[in-house]
Amino acid sequence: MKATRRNLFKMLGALTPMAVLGGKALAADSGTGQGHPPGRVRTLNGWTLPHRMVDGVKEFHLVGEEVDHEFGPGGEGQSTRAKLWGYNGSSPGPTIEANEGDRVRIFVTNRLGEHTSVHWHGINLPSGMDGVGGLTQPHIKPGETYAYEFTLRQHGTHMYHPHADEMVQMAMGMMGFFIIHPREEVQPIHRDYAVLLHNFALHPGTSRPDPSVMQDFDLWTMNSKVFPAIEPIVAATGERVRIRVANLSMWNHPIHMHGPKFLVTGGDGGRWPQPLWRSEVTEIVGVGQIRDLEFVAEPGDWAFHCHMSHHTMNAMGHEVPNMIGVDQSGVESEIRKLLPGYMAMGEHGMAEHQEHTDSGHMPGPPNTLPMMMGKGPFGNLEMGGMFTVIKVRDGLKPGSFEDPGWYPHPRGTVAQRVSADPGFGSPIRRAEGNQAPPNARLSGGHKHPKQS
Amino acid sequence: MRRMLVVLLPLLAACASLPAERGYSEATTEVSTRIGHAPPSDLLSLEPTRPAVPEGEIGIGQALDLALRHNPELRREYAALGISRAELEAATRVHNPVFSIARLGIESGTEIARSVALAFTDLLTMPDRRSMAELGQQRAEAEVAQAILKMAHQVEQAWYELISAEQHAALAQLIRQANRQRAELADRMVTAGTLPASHAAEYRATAAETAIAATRAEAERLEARLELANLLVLPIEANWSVPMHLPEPKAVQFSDEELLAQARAERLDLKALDRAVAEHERSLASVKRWRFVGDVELEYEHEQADGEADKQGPGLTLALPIFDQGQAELERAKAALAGARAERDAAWYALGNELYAARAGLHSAAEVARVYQRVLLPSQERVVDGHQQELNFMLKGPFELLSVRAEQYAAHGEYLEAVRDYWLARAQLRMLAGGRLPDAPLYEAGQPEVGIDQFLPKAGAPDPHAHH
Ligand SMILES: [Cu+2]
Repeated sequence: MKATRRNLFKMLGALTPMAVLGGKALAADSGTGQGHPPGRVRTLNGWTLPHRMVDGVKEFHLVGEEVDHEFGPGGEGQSTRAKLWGYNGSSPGPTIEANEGDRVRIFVTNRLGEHTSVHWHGINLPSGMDGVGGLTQPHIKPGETYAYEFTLRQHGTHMYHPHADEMVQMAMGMMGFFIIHPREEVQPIHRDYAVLLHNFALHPGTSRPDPSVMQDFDLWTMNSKVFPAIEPIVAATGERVRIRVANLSMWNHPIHMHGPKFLVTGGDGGRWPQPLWRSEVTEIVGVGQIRDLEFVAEPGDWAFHCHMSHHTMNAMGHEVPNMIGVDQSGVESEIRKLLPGYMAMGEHGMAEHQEHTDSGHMPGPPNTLPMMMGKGPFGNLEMGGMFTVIKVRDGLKPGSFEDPGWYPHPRGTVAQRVSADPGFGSPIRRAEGNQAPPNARLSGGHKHPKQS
Repeated sequence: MRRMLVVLLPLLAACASLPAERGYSEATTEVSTRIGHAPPSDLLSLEPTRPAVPEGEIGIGQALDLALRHNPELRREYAALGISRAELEAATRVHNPVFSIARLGIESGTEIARSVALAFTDLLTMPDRRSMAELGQQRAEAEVAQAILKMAHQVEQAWYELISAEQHAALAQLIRQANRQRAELADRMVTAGTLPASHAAEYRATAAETAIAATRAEAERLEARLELANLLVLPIEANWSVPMHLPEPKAVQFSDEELLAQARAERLDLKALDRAVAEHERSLASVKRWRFVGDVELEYEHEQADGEADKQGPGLTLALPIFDQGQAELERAKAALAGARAERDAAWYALGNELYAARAGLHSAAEVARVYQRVLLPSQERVVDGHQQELNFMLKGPFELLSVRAEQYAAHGEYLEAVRDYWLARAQLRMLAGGRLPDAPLYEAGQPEVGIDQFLPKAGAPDPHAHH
C-alpha cells in the first residue's frame, strides 16, 4: 500500500497510542492535499505535524521511512524523483510546532531497514532525551517505537534529525523543523516561513542519493525542492515577514535577499534581544546553523537565494571542458557527421543553454532536471537549486499563500532598452580592456541567430 | 590362327575412343551438385581470357563464376585430367603387332619370310590395367573436383576478407575522424586560452595514432583486394567492388552426426584416397597373378621360297621365370598399397576430429557475433546516447563523447570481424564436409545486411541551432 499522507493518518490512527488514548481532536488540521495545514509557520512545500493533547501533554508521532520524492518537475517530460528517507511520508519531515512551556511527547517509529534515533537539535532537555544513538539512548531498531518526552523551556527555530548512521540518514533526506513559539512575541510576525537547506548527491540518471559524496552535490535544495519547484514566499505589502533558514547540508550558504534589507533577529538560541538585531542583505547560514531573517514586505518580485552561484544550478558537470571563447565553427559540422546530435555550446557563455534544454531537442539523462530552469515574464531565469522568489503585493488577504503571479511593475519602473548598438554612447573604458566590442562577433559571425 | 588374328586385331583396335568429355564432365558435375557453380567442362577448348571488369558490386556467386571460368590455375588442374585420360587410353590398348619381312637369297632364288608377332603380355594384363586405369581416372576426377572446390573456397575466403577489410578501413577512418575532431577542438581551446597546449598535444598524439591505424587498415584493404583480384583475374586498380555488407550469421541447424555422415559420403579427397587404395590393391593382385609370367609373344610366320612349297606356322616366345619371379614388383606393390592405405586411414581418422573442431569453431564464432550484436553493441549504443544526453545537459564535455563514439566504432568493427569469422568458419566447415552443409545444400549467399551504414553521415541533418 502506498502511504499517501491521507491514508498514512488512517494507518497511524490504527496503530498508535494516540488512537488508544484518543478522542481528543487534533490540534492542527490534517491539512490540504498540498500540505499546508494552518500551523503558524509555513514550511515551503512542506507541512506541520498535527498533535493530540493527552493529559496536558502534546503528543506527536514521527515515522522514519523511505519516501518517494520529487525534487521538481521540469519542462515536458522532465522531472527528478528519488527514493529518499524522511519522516511521515516526506522529506523534510513535517514541521513540529509547539509553544514555550509545553510538555511534549514524541513517538518515533522506525520503518527503515536499519536502526535510527532522533536528535532534537538545539533544544534544552534531559540528556537522555537528546537522541544520540549509543550515547544517550539505545538505537531505535527497525519496527520499534520510542517515546521522547520533555518540557520546552525556550523558544526559537530548531531542528530534528537522526543521530545514528547520521551521515547516511541525513544524506538520504531525514530532517525536519522543530519550532517553539515564544510565550510572547515582542514584535508580532504576520507571515512566518521556514526553509531547510540541504544538498543531495542524486547523480544524473539515478534515483537514490549517494551518501558517499562530501562536497560535489548535484542538487541544492530548500525543503528538498529545487527551483522552480520551490514555492514562492508570498506577503502583503507592509507585512512583517520572518524566514527561518536552517542548514543541514554539507556547505555553508550565504543566503541573499533582494529588495528590502532584512534583519537577522535570531539564531539557534531563539529570537535575539532587539538590540542584537542587525541589518544584512546576505547572511551566511553555516552547517547545522539556523538564522531568522525578518523584513517588512515591499511590493515586487524579489529573488531569494543562496549566493554560491553553483548552488543555484541544478545538476551540472563541474569538470566539463571550458568552451568560453572557443570557436567551434567547422569542427562542429565535422563532429555532427559522426554524432548527428552534437551541438557546439558555450563559446559566448552558457546563457543559451536553457533555451536548448527547454526546447526539448536536447534531451538529458533520465530523471534529471536541466542545469538552468525557470521562466519569468521577461525570459528565462537560468536558475535552479536554492532559489525562489519573494512575491509581495498590495492588499493580499492575510493567510492567503496563493501565488499571485508576476509583479505588475508600475509604469516607468522597469529597466528598458535604449539602444541595440554596442557603440552607443561614449562610456569611458580602460584601454587595456578596450578590445573589439564584445558584440562585434555576435553581429557578424554569430552561429545562433535568434528567430522570432 | 590367321583367322584368329584377323578377328582379334580389329577387336583390339576398336576398344579405343575415350569420350571427349570423360573426366571433365564428371569433375564439374561433382562440383556443381555441391556448390551450384562449376567451371565449364570444355574449359580447355575455350580461349583463355581475362574477364571484363564487372559493373557494380561483385556478389559471391559472380565471384565464383569469374574464378571458375578465368583462373588459369583451373586449366592446370584440367591438364591433370588429361594425363589420367591418357593412362586410361593406354590401358585399353596393347602394343601394336609387329610385322616383319625379310628377303633372303637362296640357291634356288629368293626366299621371302613374313611374320606377324603380337606381344601377348599386354593382352593378358589388359583387364587389370584397365580397371586400375579406371580407378586412376576416378581418383583424378575426384582430385580435380576437390581442387575446384578448394579454389571456390579460396574465392569465398578472399571475398569475405575483402568485405571485412573494406569495413575495417572505413571504420578506421571514422575512428580517425573522431580523434581528429578531438584534437581540433583541443587546438581551438588552446587558441581561446582554455586548455594548456601540452594537454592539446595529448589529443593530437592520440589522433596521430588513429591516423596511423587508418593508413594501416587501408594497406590491409589493398592486400585483401589483391588476393581477390588475383583469384578472379581482375586488375586490382580497375573499378570493381564488393558489397559493404556481410550476411547476418545464422543458426547452425545440424548435428555432428549428420555432418560426419555427409562428409563420409561426399568428401572428394577421401574418395580420391579410396580410389588410390583400390588402385594399389588391384595392382598388387595383378602383380601376384602375373609374377611368373614374363614376356609372351605370339608369332605367325610365313616363308615363301622359290622352288619350295610355302612354309607357315605359329610360334611362341616365352620368358622363363627362373631368375626373376617378380619379387621386386611384389614388394613395390605391397609397399605402395600399405602407403596408400596409411594415407587414407590418416584422413579418415582425422575426419571426425576436424569436423568436431570446425563445428565448434563455427559455434563459437556464432556465439561471439551474437553476444556482440545482442549485448555489447546495444550497451555501447546506450553509452553513447547517455554521453550525448550528458553533453546536452552540460554534465560532460565533447571529448568524452567523441571518445566513446570511437570506442563504439571499434566495437562495431570487432563485431563485423566476428561476423566475417563466422562465415569463414562456415566456409571452412563446408569444405571439410565435402562441399555442402546439411542445412544448406548449395552455396549460400545470405542477404547482406551487416555493415557500417548506421555510422555513415546522413545527408540533410537539421541544424540544431535553428531551433531558436
Ligand atoms: Cu549555497
